[in-house]
Amino acid sequence: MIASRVFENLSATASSDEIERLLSQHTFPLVEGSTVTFVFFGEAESVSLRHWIYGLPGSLPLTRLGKSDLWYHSVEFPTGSRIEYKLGVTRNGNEEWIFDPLNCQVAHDPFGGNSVVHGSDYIAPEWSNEISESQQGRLDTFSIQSQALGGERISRVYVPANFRPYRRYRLLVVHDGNDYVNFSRLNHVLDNLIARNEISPLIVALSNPHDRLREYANDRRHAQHVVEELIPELESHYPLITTSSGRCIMGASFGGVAALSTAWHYPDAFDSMLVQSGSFAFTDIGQHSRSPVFDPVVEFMNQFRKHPGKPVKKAYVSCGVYESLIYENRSLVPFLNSIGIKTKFEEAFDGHNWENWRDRLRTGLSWLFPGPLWETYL
Amino acid sequence: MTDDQRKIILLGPQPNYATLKTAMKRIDCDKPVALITAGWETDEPEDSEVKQAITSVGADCVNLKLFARTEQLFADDPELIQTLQARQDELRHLRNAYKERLQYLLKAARQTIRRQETLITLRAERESAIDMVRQLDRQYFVRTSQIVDDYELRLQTAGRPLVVEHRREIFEILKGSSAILISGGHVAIILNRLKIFGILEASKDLPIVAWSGGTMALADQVVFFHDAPPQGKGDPEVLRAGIGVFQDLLPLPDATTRLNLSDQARVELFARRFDRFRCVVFDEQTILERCDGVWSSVGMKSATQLGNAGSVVGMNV
Repeated sequence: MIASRVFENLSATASSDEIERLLSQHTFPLVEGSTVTFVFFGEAESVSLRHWIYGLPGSLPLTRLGKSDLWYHSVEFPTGSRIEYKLGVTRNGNEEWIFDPLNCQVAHDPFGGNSVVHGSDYIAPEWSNEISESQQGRLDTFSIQSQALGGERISRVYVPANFRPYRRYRLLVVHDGNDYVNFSRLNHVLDNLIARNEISPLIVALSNPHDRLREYANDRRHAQHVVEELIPELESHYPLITTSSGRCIMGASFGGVAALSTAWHYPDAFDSMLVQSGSFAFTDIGQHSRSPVFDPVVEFMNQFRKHPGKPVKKAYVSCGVYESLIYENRSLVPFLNSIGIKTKFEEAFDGHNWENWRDRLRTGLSWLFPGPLWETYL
Repeated sequence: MTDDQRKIILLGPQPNYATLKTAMKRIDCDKPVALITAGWETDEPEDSEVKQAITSVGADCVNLKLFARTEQLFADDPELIQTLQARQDELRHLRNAYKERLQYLLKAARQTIRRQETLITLRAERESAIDMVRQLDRQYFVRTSQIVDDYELRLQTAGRPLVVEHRREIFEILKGSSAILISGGHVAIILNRLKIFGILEASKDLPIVAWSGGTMALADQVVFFHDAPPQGKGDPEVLRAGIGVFQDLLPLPDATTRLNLSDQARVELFARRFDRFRCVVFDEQTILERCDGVWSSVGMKSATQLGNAGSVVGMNV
């Protein structure tokens, strides 16, 4: 039984004054070393912890303290963990998933967001904040008519501070570009890492899908759009290195699949790849047990594992330990190395979310776009 | 005038050139100052902000354009660039071997320091661990100097016709200058450009104001450092010999950001490893001036250095 020292000392018959004192004396969830105690205070028939940690039951019931309105549940997490969650509160027989009312820390995502708790030793990276000393790059809007996908495609393009038209820049093509900016602060990360010389200045195409699960699940038209339409158009507008040595492709989750499959279809187009929590599901035998949206992904990954070729020369791969995809991502790394792709892998005690991907950007980008930090003293 | 007597003002990073302006007031600028921004590489010509700072204190300024001159030289004298590239390859191989050996020696030295043993025998072990790092540094320093000298014998840089032409032009500018200003930037590039054009020899009587990477290039030894780079181990490493305008200081620009100065063991190891120098912390407000061979701290904030006991202490001037 995992127990919080604070709650262990609280009697089941604690008075409302004692409970109020407890609530005012601590911040919640209560982090005591590796023990995290989730707390809810209010009327309810039942309360549960709803989270996305693979390996734990999806719903963990909170225990009511005596007959009070105080509910709690302790979980043991490795230090350095970052956990996103909601509370499932049942009233009148209906369960509602809510943000934790006792916790003002929220992680946003395209679906709204979750409450978030930082385990001991987790430090949110300061290089992901907007820092006044770091000069800001600009975000251009970039629109093209796509023959491959049909219709207009609007991307944004990050152009670094101190942009010089006479220079030649490397290009990073990012899937789910708007989400990377909105939820992982990619533009601020780039500003800060460039300002600190940790990465070299680069131009970043922030592309966005219309029908994400279709386009990103190894859709050849998507690959064609990126390589035959988007990149040439960018090269005609920006001073880019026009060979594969100057290009990198990136994505998270299904965007990671899109990055790998685009590079696989066009093996001479990209030098490197940055993939985070890629949905790289595959089967050795039989059917997969994931949702049907994974069908084309599994088909692609099985094909890729049989005939990998060499889509890129260098790769950065990251994944959260609390994701079911950790096994697929871990197994991808020796495979990529075996086909001659120099691969750096990083895993973290985090889940399938944008802040996990944000926190890994420094290592990934500096691995693929090393800046002159070591030799340069401005 | 010998280099020991030359007036030198050393500064830290200059985000808004505030201390550069203060420093400029400490030299006699009746003639224009010669500016070197080669460390900014292709951004060398982007010098309007620094020029504004210089003119705001009543001085004129001429950029020596050493980076652009070198690019031109490389284009016009392919043998020069090819030989320098061969030198770089040799230095790179040596550096990789040095770094490989260095990481193990530093790990051992750090561990013995962190143990804080009081037994005399173990104290001796600690001394020995640090001394092994010093020996490796020294060996590497000597080897890199030999390689640079060997290639210089082959190159005879100063006598190459195109170099002679540039040196003559630069010498004319320096004759009409009141001081040399050297910006920060890529240290090896600054160092190489200063050497190719013989800037220091051509300006023995001129005061020098240098900041950040510029100060490192002028030192006896160039040491790169960063405790938490995003890639690599962050082990401070000797690059090679600097210009050697001064022998007693090891400038550490931006050390408050680059080094974990609260990590006693790391600070102690750094200071003791390089104990033949004063390892000076150069932040934005530091101004260190050498007049008649004597250093004094003349900035708003007193200069500090890494202490052998593992903390940052006032600089012994």
